[in-house]
Amino acid sequence: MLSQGRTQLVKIPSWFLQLRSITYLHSGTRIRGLKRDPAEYLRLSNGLLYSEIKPDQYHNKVRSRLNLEKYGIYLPDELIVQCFTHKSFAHGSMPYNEKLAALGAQFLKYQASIYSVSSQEKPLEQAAGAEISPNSINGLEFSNLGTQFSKQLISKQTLSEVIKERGIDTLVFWKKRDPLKDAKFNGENSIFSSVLNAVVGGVLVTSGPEKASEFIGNELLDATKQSSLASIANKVV
Amino acid sequence: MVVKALKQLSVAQNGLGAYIFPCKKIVLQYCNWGGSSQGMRDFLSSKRLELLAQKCPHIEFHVVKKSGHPLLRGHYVNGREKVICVRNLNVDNVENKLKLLKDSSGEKLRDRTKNDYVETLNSSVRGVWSPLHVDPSKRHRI
Amino acid sequence: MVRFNAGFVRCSSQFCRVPVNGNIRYLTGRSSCVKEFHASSRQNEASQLSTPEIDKYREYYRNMQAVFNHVPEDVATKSPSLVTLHKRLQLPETFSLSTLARCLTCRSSHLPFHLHDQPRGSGFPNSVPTSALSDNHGLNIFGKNLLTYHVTHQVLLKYPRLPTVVLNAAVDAYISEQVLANVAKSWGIEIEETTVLERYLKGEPVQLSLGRLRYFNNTLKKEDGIEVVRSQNFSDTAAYALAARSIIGALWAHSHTSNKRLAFEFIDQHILSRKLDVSKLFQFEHPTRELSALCRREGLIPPVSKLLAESGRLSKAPVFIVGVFSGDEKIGEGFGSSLKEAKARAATDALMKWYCYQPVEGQANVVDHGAVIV
Repeated sequence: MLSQGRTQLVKIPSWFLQLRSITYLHSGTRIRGLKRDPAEYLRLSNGLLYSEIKPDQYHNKVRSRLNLEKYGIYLPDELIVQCFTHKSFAHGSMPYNEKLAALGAQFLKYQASIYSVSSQEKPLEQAAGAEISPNSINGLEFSNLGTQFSKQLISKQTLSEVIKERGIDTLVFWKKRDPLKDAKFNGENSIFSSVLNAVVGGVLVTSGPEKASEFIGNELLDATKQSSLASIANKVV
Repeated sequence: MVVKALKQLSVAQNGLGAYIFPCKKIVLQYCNWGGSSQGMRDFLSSKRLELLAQKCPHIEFHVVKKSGHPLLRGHYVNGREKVICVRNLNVDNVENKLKLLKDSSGEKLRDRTKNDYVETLNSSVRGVWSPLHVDPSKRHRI
Repeated sequence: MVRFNAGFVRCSSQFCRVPVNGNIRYLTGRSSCVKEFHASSRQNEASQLSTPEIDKYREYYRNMQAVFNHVPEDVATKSPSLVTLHKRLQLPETFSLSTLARCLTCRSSHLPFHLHDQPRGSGFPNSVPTSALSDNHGLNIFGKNLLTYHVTHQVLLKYPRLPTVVLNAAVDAYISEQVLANVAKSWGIEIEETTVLERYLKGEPVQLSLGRLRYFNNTLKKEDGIEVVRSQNFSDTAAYALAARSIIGALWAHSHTSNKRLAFEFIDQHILSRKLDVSKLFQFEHPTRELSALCRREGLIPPVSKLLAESGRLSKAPVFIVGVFSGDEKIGEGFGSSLKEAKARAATDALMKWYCYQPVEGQANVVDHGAVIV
């Protein structure tokens, strides 16, 4: 288009854009240069096809397993799919959860540290000590931070356990590094933890920090609740 | 082959948002014997320092007795310090010098040449004129 | 010569303060308190020497230790630098000065617990040991979490389409250790530079050490051009950053019941008000390829570069202006001294306009789909 010494614009004729074309979509083993069939690369190993997910089997399942309605949170369908799609899926051509997870992880960390400082349990080294710590600030125990439990609370392992125990790990769109190797090699924990982080990030973006902290406090950081972060971390430590 | 990030540091803009008073500490040094400290001693024994300290609770005032000429030493948040010798000055002049130190930003004093009055981190709102973007019919032809 | 005899100056060998204003300190007779106590006599301490002078020093040391382990509010209010720092930052009244003193005690100042322990060949530390429950370790972690969350959230609200690496770089540009150290320095925090022994010999009251930043810092003479490198991070930059984060964490602790927004407003005013140009954070390797991948993903017409203007093609200093078009719409423009350079600049410009997009106020939340992977 960069013609010699000319400065005028070249207009693309409309017929050029309306040409009929036929594309061959290849399926089976990979051949360099051939376009792959979306029905193949958009399908998970458990048979779930990205382009044909049904609301009652997917979105509503996610909503009910995470009890989102209980806290008055509504996540749009596309956002749920985006939260459950990892960057590795379909070479990042579909909306993926990386940034929502980054935001959600920070919010979760912040809420978990509030939970740690306001919980009355004394850290281990202080357990035998006095009745009320003289070093608490405004009733908050800042020496609780940095302990084994507070680290475990938001570890990748605990986060991915939540996703697995709630049975929504089969809905995550991701691509294994090597399908023949084990979960640790494929980094399963970090994929599933990013999904939970992304859900928190999605709730924060759509419903605001008040509802998000209510959701985290009552659903994820309630030690009495089954498959919450606090109960799982208690088991591990 | 995706975008990469370069490391940058944000730059402080004191007063845009929070304002931190630049002067953090003033040391007043006097001699109990020398005649050049007379004005300084008068200043210290009057109520003026107390009033100033009440007005500026964010500045630490430190009174030191040391032989020699009386000095005022200001310490600033940018890490610099400014010293003024107040020998033989009367009580009003000592106070003026003290206020001068208090109100200083701690930066080095320098002359501003003409057209150097504005210092900014932001680029021009108007943009830079470009000869290649004017109407082709009005462009200068060689 | 008239003898100066003002009522408030006491001619003793000790520091004395007049408690009218928290921020005035009077000092007289500094040189009169040289005592017969040499640093070399420290070697003998392991064998529990007991002379009156050493006992006095032990007493001073233990008193300082007790104060740092649990800062009494009345001692903290006597510290001029704490009072002025509190006022300078305009902290709320509920933020106690003893907490502020705790923010200035770093865990790295936790060195020998017993006075006769040999401090690992580093000379005497300039701080006294504190218990792990009364330093700023927990406050620092909390402040860091608070800062990272708020800054990430605000940057994402302003620039929803930043790629993750650039987002992290932008957050780092606001709250990296170096920047927070600069912030803490600009707050007028000073570091403790004298040893406990020197402070004892000067007869310095404990509240003066309370107002300075305490961290590991050996008292061996500093030599120009020689830097001590250790496995742990004991640098003053780290210590300043710890103090800044701890103050923010402590501000939240003191204000979250009365005013939830206060700590966030403090971060907005002190950290997010700093200047950062996000477009300086990008480095594209293949801008033209990335732009065409972006157009494909977003369903736009493939980008085409067109020469808009040029000057001096055959001269030593040619200038070309190239625009990149998606259909009829111009999505970017660039200049360059060759066609290739101008084309790359135009694609970079188009990508920058996509990634640095800022929603207008009142617009619904923008959830970005993620950066393009080429």
